[in-house]
Parts: sequence; C-alpha cells; structure tokens
Amino acid sequence: MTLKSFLLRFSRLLALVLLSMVVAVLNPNFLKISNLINIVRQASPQIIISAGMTIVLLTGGIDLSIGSVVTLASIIAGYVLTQTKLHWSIAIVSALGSGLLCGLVSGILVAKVKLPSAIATYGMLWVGRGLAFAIMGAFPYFGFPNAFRYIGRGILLGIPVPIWIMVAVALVVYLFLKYTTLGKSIYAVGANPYAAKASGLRVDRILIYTYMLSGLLAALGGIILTARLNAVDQDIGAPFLLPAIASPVMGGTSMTGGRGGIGGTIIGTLIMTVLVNAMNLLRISSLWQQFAIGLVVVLAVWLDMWIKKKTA
Amino acid sequence: MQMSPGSRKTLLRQVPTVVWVLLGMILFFARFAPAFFTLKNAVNLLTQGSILMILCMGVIVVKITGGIELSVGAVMTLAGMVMAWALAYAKLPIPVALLLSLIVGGLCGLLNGFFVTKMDIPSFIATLGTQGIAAGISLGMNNGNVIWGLPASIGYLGNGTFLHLPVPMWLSVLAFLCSFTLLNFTPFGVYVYALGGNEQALVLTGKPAWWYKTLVYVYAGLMAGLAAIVITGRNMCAQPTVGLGMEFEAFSAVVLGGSFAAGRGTAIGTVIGVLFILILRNGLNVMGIPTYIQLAIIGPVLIGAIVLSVLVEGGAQK
Repeated sequence: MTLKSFLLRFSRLLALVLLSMVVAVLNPNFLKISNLINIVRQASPQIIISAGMTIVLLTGGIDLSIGSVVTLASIIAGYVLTQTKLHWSIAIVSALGSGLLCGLVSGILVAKVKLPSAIATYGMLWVGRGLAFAIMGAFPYFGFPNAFRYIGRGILLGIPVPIWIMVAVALVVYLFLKYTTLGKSIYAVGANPYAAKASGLRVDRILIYTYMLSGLLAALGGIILTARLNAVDQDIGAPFLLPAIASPVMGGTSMTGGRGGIGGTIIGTLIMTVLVNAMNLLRISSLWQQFAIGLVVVLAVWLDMWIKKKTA
Repeated sequence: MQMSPGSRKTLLRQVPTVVWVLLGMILFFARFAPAFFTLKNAVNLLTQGSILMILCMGVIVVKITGGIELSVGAVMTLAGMVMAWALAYAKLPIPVALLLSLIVGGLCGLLNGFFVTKMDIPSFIATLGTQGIAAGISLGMNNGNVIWGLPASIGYLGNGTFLHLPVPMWLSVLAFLCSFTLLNFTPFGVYVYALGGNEQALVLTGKPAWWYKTLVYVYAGLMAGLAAIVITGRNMCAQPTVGLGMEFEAFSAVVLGGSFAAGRGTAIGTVIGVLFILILRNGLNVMGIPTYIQLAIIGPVLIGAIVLSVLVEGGAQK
C-alpha cells in the first residue's frame, strides 16, 4: 500500500487521532479511560441515528425527518410507559413500530409519488413533529421503570449498555451493506438508479426498505436517549438531524449516493463528540461550540475533497 | 406545458395547484374565524410575515440554481447583532449601522459561495457550516445576551408607516421587486436558471459560472441583512437566537411556491408559498387553536399541499 492510498483510506481516522492527540496534550484528563468511555457512550445514540442517514445517503437521497422520528418514537415510548399500564417491552415495540411507519410513508412518497427525497422527508419532519405534539400536549413525560432505564444507564461487563447496542447496530449495518443482496443493491441504486432499474433491481422496493431502516434506527436512537434521560419532551430529537447529515459526509459518504459506509460515519460522529468533549474539558463557553462545529464540518468535508483530488 | 392560449380550460390549468389550496384555506378561515377576513388582520399578517418574505426572496434565487440555503436564519441573526452592537456600543451613526448589517449578510453569503464554488462542498453542508459559524458568533459576541439600547428612530424601520402602510411591508415589496427583476429582466437571471438547468453548458459558453454562483449566495446574504434591519427595528433589540429555524420555514415556502427541483421556481410563486405559510399560521391563531395543536396541523397541510401540487403538475417534470 503506497502512502497515497493509505492517506486516502485512513484520512479521517488520522484526523480523529490528530485531534485526540492535540486535546490530550492540552488536557491530560482527556485520555482517562472513564472519559474515553464517556465519549463513546455520548456518541452512541448519534451513531445509531447517523447509521440510518448513511444508508439513505447511499441511495442518493436524504432523510430530513430523522430528528422528528427520534422525537415521535421517544414520545410514544414515554406515553406507553407513563400513561398506560402496559409492559415496558410494549413501549419499545411501539416506538420502533412508529419509526418503521414513518420510514414507510417517506419511502412511498419518494419511490412511488416520486417526490424529491428532501421534500418528502421534510414533510415527514412536520408530520412527525405534529403527531408528537398532538400525543403529548404541553407536558413532558418522566419517571420511567428501572428495567426500561437499563437500556440507557445500565452497565454490562464494565461497558455501558448504549455502547453495546451501538456496536451491535454498527456490525449488523456493516455486514448488511457488505454481504446481503439488498445492501449491495442500495449502493447500485445510489450509483446509478437507471442502470439499477435496467438490470432488474426493484428500485421502488429498495428505496422503501431504505427509508424504513432509517426510521427504525432513528427510533432505536430515541429509545436509548429516552431511557438515559428518564424524561422526554418535544425537543428531544431535533438537535440530532444536522450532525446526522454532517457525520456521514465527514466520514466520506457521498451526498450524491453510491459511495461510503458505516465505518466513516462512526469516525465522523466521534470527531464531533471529541470536539465537544474537548471544548468542555478546556472550559470553552458552550456559546462558541456551535461556531467550532460549523467550522470543523466544513473543513473536514473540504479536506476529504482535497485529498481525493490530490490522489485521483 | 404547451397549450393553446385562449380557451378557459387551459387558462385555469396554468394556475398552480397551490393557489387553489390557498384559496380554499382562505375561504375556510373566513367562514370559521370572523376576525380573519379583515383588512386589519391582512395588514398585520403581511407585516409580521415581511421578514420571512424578504428571506425567501434571497433563498429562491439559490434554490433555482439547485442549491439549498440553510444559513439565512443564522446570518440574519448575526447581521442584527452586529448592527445593534454598532449602534448601542460603538455609537456609530444609523446609516453606517444599516450598511454594516447588509455587509455582514453579504460577507456570510460570500463565505457560502466560497465554500460551494472554490472548496467544492455541497451547498447543504456549506450553508450548514455557515449556519453554525454565524449562530456561534451571534451567541458568543455578547455572551448570549440580548443587545438593548438602540436609538428610537431605528424603530421606524420595523414599526413605522409610510403612505399609511407599514414600512416592513414596503421593504418586502422592495425585496420582491429586486428578485423579480433580477430573475426575469437581467442577463444574470438567465444565468441563474442556467446554473440550475445545466451548469456544464454555462461553463462551456465561457462564462465564469463559479462567480455567478458565488454572487447568488451573496444576494441571499444581502436579503438576510435586509431582514435583520427589519427585525431589529421591530424588536428594538437584537436577540442572539432570533432567526432560529427560519431557514426551514424559508425552504418550505420556496418549495410550496413551485421550486420542486433545480432550475424551477419564480419570484411570484415564492410570494404565494410565503403567503400560504403565513395565512395558515395566522388563521389558526385567529381561530384560537393552541400552539401544540397548530404544529400538528401545519405539518400535514404543508406536505399535503406539496404532494398535491407535484401530483397534479406532473412531478418534478424532469
């Protein structure tokens, strides 16, 4: 492997390591095992949510409804847990179901009605938000059973449960994209939808599955978040949308489809989480954090483009 | 849409679907909310909505080139903060402060344009980055605090009247006329549509396409600067989060107004899209519906109107 191709392949990992080294020099506390575990735990829901976005981006689409699907699923889980006497597993099932359903609607709007995906999922954003408001009204839900909260706060073999779930999701998505027919078709649809159709792929169906997966993963992220916070309100999901787009793109997933994968998304999310963690450790006012994140997103994407151009 | 002119049927067909939905909505509100269909409410609605209108007049131009502009809300906030800072702390004269607001808007636009054309970053990410940068500076420059203490005369721009009509309304008309003229009667307008239709062709004609594209973002930034002047004048202060979420509202208005894909969209359509959102929200308000139920209604109505338009008008007509 030449230096060039090595740089191309691992440029983002290098950026993450470099960033971590700088932070570690500035504040040795950064490298404490407890802080590192904390970073990964904090990143876990975002990684799971971004994984769904990654799959949609691979088809050349975008899922703007992700934030409000997180909200809706969380609120449905909260509703079942606090307003009904049903078992907590029902809460999980209904939350995941709502995510699948949102994805199904988005998928049909994209694949059958032929709406541009940004518009279809943007509409879904409002619908999900609206439903969430209609279900919850004005008062947040809080105080969930301990068995449910284990998903967000539990520790298994010394490692927090959200990390276990995130690793499982990442592994499944990786294997799914790499080895299953559907996974490989997703790349084909993104690279060239006409060629994919001409070669006999059922593009409609693949697209619908893609958006359903994205909805499902967003709902899963929402469940972990709800369990961790032990409370849910209407604003729980919205902050996840922009990082969900930025982290796959920072990780090398093309916004025009057909290129990328889950590995880059994990690194992209970690870069952003490390950045926020570092700013907290260095006592930089949270008011400036948005500025830094904006700058880093642009620079990371530019670096990616630049390296590609140089090595092409 | 090649149809023989003259016959009533084709004339009716040329009216965008969203107009029919809009008319239906107006009839509905007029019937069920007596306070809705009054001159006072109409003026109120257009004054309240002038900020969204001005922002959208910039966003539509970017949208026609195929770009997505997500920074206008944050840029408006930053321009307003800088303007208020110039007036309250630096004690600069008012015209300089107003100019400063436009300059900040234009510079943010230039940054967007630079990201998109010179660094090859997708517009979605580039404007998202600018959003973060502008929102971050707005929050950081005054430690997250509101800037008060503006000269009273600045309020004229947000609350005053000119020829019996509110000044913000005049300014939104001015913004509309700028975009309308720009898109329809200047060579630049032709290039804007060309950028959305076939950028490569424009490059091949030897025109500096990247420069036009940059200017499009600068134009959107200038509009955000103008909107900042209006909103700062209206509130008599600058809040560091005042523009939060405005970019998404602007995006929906522009899409509702017929800009379903790159190369499509008009200034007049955008006015209709903006009115749609304003009237929907205002009507629900006048009917006294609680905010959280309003949010539950607005979403489905918006997506319904968009789906209907796309279905009736034959999709994105690619």
